[in-house]
Amino acid sequence: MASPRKKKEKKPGRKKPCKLCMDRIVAVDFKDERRVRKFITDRGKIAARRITGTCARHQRQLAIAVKRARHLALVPFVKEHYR
Amino acid sequence: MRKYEFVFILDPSVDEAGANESLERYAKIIRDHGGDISQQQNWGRRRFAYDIKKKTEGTYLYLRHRADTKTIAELNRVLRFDERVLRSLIVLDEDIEARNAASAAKRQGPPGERGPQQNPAVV
Repeated sequence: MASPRKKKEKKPGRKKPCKLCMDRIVAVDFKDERRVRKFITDRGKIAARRITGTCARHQRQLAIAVKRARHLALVPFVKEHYR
Repeated sequence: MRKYEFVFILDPSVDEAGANESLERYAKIIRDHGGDISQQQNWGRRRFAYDIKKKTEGTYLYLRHRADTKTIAELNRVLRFDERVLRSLIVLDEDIEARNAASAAKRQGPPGERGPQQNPAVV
């Protein structure tokens, strides 16, 4: 029974497809800067799965790829002031 | 012996000849320790996403090789003393590009609504 106070009940909704699965990516590569960049926020953070719809397997790979790319200054750690 | 990917970044004051020389030097270290190089690339000069030692750009060099763990330890030791190297990364090579390319070739069509993807190889 939905409580009357709650105006909006969260609908289950359709699950977002994992973009990396769609692209038939087997393993995420830190050298692929363009692709890695799609999965970081404008602040430079790793984007959450609920935002991007990435599947668990790819999200794990992605986290490692982002960290490696950051180490090589391909991708920022933080972006305090954006142009 | 395991396969590795090795990337290092040189100070921007080093010119292209110097960079290639440096790349060759590290390749030699690997060979001298019984390893072999399968790929050797100069990615050229790139802007950093953030400053490293007050520098805003540097030359990226890439090596793909097979080596012993001892060789990797030696590489890391030499890298530490090389002042022209701003950053380095040595990780296990998992043949990512080849596996992705194979997977893309095998399953063209549905459900890849985006069509053929750009190759992940960055050079």
